[in-house]
Amino acid sequence: MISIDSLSKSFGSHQVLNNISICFQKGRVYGIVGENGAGKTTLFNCIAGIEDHQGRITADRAPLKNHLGFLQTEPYFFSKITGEEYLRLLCHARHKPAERAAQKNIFELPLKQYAATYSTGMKKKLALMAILMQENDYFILDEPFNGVDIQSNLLITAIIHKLRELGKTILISSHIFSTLHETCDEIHLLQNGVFSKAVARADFDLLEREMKQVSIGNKIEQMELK
Amino acid sequence: MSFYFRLQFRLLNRHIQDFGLSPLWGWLLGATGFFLFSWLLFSKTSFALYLYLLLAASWLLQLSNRKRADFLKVIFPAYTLRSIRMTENLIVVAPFVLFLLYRQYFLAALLLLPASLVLSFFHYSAVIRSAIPTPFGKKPFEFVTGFRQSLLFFLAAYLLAGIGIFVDNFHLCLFACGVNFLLILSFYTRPEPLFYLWSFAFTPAGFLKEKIKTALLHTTFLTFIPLAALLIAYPGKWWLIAGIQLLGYLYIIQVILVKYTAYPGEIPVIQTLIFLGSIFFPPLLLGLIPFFYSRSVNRLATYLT
Repeated sequence: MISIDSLSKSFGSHQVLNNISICFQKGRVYGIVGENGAGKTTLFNCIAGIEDHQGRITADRAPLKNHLGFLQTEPYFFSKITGEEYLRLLCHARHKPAERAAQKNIFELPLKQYAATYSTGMKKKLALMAILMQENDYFILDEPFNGVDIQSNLLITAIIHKLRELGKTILISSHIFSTLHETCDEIHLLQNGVFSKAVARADFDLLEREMKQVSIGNKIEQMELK
Repeated sequence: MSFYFRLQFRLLNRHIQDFGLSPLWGWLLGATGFFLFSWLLFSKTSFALYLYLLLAASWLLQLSNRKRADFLKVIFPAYTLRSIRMTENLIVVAPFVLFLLYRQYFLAALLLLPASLVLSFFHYSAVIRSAIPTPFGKKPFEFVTGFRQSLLFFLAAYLLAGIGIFVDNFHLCLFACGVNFLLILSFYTRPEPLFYLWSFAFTPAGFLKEKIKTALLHTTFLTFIPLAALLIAYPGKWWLIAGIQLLGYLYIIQVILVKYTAYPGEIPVIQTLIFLGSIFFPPLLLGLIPFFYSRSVNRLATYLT
């Protein structure tokens, strides 16, 4: 369980998160949606402890950061590190063995190659594999489906289902509504620094229709496309 | 084209400002540093000219990176691109050419100019798919990435040590050992992205201990061959050789600590100057290492628990 109490974060005068309180339970998958710049990544960085913030963030396994697998939107790789060495580094960082990386290579990545030479999707899969090998209790997956091929997309969805079964707490952000529909138990809409809406699985279709209405509206006409 | 160069100048100034200096001071210190380095190189070693040309070539090669070349190709027409690449290569070799003229190496200076223009026509791919094997794969990342990036320089330093033994020039051997240590120090000069530090489930002290332990172990591995060769060739000077090795270890410990005092920022100019001061006066290390240790522990406490 991750508990957030009165979380606020601002960059200068720009308030990104405004007094957020929420509790993420064990064995559940939470979708976090919002427009670009709504504060999703900032929220994730605060939970991970990468950003200073006001308010309290606690977890049943402390310290949270040592049990958290964080898949960043654009994982960074050193220019001369191989996939296998990256996995080893991340496992070593959490005192976990990395000896059976080849066996666990379910995405069939070329682990002997430099990670920096991987495609966007392959990088994402390598970073995901690393946090799975760390055997974390909590997961933040920031755009896990971005740039990933359709087969891996299915595999990632299955992995998320398995993690839920194992009682992990999972937070996902995605701009592809269908992926959230398939994986999440709840979706929270982040708007102007606060969670403006929480929707349970039964109402996902309704939320999608509402979001379409708000997002598209008459904007296409406004573009005066010719 | 002039916009491109003005933009590059602005970017360089921003790098200098990130380093904690005003651009004017940065350019002044950079020029002075370059002159002093060149002067020291040519006064201390007979291979200076070759090292100097190699250094100029490595700077030029950085501009010939395929990714960069492809980006420029996309945004500029062919003629402008050609002019840009030739001009920037000339700008890069200009300080080398000027110093070579000052030292009266006229032929080398005159060859460097057309060579830089010819090099502007080539670009190399920094993306090599097959990885260079290293003995450091079990404990990434500094030595894994650093070794691969500096492999040629290590080979050159080993060769230099070999030549030193062969021509019985002990100072050249020590210079080669110094180069080895400088290369290793360079692995720790840039801060890694925060995610990598954040991932560690260590206390700040535990993290630093682990970093230092790995660095010393890997340094011993990287410097073992020239060290052993020197001890065999000059057994009577074992105390001097061991002293240099020990100092090398201390500087590596210090650079690790200095790096994390400013983390996640770059190492500030003050710490760099203090570090340089300790090279000229090694006893300072006795006070600086504990000082930087406590500073870096405090700094890391923000990110590690």
